[in-house]
Amino acid sequence: MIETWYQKVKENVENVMVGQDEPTFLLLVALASEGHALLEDVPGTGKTMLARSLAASLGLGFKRVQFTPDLMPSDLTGVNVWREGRFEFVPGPVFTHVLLVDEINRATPKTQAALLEAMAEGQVTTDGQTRRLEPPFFVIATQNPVEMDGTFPLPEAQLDRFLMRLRLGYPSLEEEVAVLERLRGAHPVEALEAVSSPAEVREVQAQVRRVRVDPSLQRYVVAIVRATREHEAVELGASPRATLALQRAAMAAAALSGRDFVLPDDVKRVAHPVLEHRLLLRPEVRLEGVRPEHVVEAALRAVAVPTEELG
Amino acid sequence: MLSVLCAAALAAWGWLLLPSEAMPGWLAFVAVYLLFPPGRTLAVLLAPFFVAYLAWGVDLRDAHEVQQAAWRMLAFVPVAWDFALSWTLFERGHRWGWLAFGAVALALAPSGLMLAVGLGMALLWQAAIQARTAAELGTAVRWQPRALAGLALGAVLLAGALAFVGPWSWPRLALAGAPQAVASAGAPAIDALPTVEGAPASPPAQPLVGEPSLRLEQAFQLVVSLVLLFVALVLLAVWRRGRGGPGARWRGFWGALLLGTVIGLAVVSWLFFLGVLAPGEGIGGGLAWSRVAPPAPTAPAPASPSEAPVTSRRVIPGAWGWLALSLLALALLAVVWAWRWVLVDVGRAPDEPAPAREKRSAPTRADAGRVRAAYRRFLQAARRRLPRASYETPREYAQRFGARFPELAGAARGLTELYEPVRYGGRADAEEAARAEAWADALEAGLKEETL
Repeated sequence: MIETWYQKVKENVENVMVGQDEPTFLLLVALASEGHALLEDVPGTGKTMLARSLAASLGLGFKRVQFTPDLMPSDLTGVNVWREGRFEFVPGPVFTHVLLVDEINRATPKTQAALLEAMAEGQVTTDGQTRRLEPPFFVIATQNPVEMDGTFPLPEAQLDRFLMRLRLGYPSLEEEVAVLERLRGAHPVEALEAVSSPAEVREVQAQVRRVRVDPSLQRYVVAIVRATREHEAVELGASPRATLALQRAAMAAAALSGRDFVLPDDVKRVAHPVLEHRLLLRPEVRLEGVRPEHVVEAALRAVAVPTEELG
Repeated sequence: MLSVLCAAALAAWGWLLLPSEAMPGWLAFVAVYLLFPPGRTLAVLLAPFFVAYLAWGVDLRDAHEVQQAAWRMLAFVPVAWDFALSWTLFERGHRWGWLAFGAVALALAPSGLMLAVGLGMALLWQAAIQARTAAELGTAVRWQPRALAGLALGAVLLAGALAFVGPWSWPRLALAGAPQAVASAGAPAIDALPTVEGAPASPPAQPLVGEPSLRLEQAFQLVVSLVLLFVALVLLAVWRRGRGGPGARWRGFWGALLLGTVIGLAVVSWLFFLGVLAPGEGIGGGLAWSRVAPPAPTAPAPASPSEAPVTSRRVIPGAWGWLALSLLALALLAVVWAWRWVLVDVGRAPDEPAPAREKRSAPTRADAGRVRAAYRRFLQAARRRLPRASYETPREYAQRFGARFPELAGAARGLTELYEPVRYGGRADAEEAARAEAWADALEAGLKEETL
């Protein structure tokens, strides 16, 4: 059932996006895992368009917020206004299903923290009153890795709240030509129709929780995360929350692939986007050109896949 | 769990309610084994007690025989256990099955040394079982030669001690040292062995007057039970074959003739062995080892100690018993061989793909073990040519293997696709296990050709 759901959503998104199969798959993994995604890439690579087309395809409510230094938490969560002799709550853009946060690192830490509370707990608190967010609640945040002037980089503890970090990358020559042809007239995202519904997404999330993970694979997941902590280039390795995220993402990847059990291939497929942004490398090795993807790759090669022992 | 409870209830019902002449223990064991496949492991584990009951005619409900029964069962447990496990393993076509039957035959011999040798072989057999089980589960076996040798030596010494020491001794050895019967004039002294040094050779010893522990009708019940068990196994195999799985394959008239011959041989051997055809011989005539037969009424009263009747000490079984034992061992081997050759093609993929069934058979540990063992065979066969890296997943390895050996790519992919749900999804059925073994065979053969 989940595989069918994934195929129809993917085909619908492909009406807008060209050559973004893997990012689409990983975004849906994050959604099915009840996590959130951070898109990090240079401007103009289609981050916003991917988020919009995904929200439209899923039939989910969609809001977009451009983070700026003067953005206040109440601009995000909502405010109480005095109307007709009593306070009335006016919900902010966070009360939606899919929230696209553009340039998350341009808002102040106070506003970032308000968003991260909503992401972690699925609720917001204003004037001492707590309000639940209707599931599914999926945050897609973007940030530009090259223009860092006037930004407030997310601290490691807050980066840890994102299930995965994705990069779209530049399209190939043929893909870019196809984009030109597709966007010659009206933008196809305007005509995109929903192929799913919030209830269906909630059912998908519930089914992902029932995917089987063999105990040997759980040990495999833990061993990979521990290997990142023990790597000599790492100052701060992946946390136990990363272990949970890796398992949950692997479960979702298995479900989207049409299986009700996890394979080591699922773990490997999601390891990079789940782990890379949680690693803090030592300054001297960063100068030598070592990057988090190298550490994750080394961890995957250092840990034996549980199969059969030959003695 | 429900099957185990049902099996236990059935066994308890048979044990407590049926009369001892009906041999309820044996019947319960057969019923449990046939009717509750999930409970077969438990049945095999409990088999020694049932077999002891069967062989020695022990009725545990009879209070005054409990103590003797306990000693007898203690001495008989290793042999009976070995027999039950060997039968189970023979069903799976284990090539070292003859070891177990050899152990049974040797342990039945009335000699402490032979008993020790038999138990040593039984220990070796247990090691083979462990290896087989480990292979089915897909786990590696790491032998510890010193520990194994020490264990074997200790078992042999213990068996030897059990055979000679006190109440733990082998019952028939105790028989050899106990006065059992008196001589009877005019009777043939085929087995009488004058053991009192210097005693006169005449008058000739009377034949033993023992009380058979298994009577004629019980022996017939036993034989009928064995035949019924065999027939039931045949029907079970035929039924499996009819459902598209591995099962029986008849081989015509000569196969049936051979089968009938070995069954007949087994029946005659059992009758000899139980002392039905030759009274006084075999276990049936010799088990009254603790009872002294009354003197014959025609025997003259002794005038002096030097004229006392000669006490006959016999080693049971005698000549007929030995013949019966030999025939029995041969018959058992023949039955098993016939079972393998004539009837069953166990574990092979069917010639044609079985039609898709709506309801798949329930996953079993044994089927999963077969798939994992097939994958291990593949890895072992490919180890020299293209070993799997420890960080490679089965799917990655199949892809690399297929790139290196394009003609075997399909087989590697097929086996991997069967292996993944078993190893990581906890599922398998007999059909998939047979297909996995067929893929593994193809890969082994293909790699052998590549090597050549």
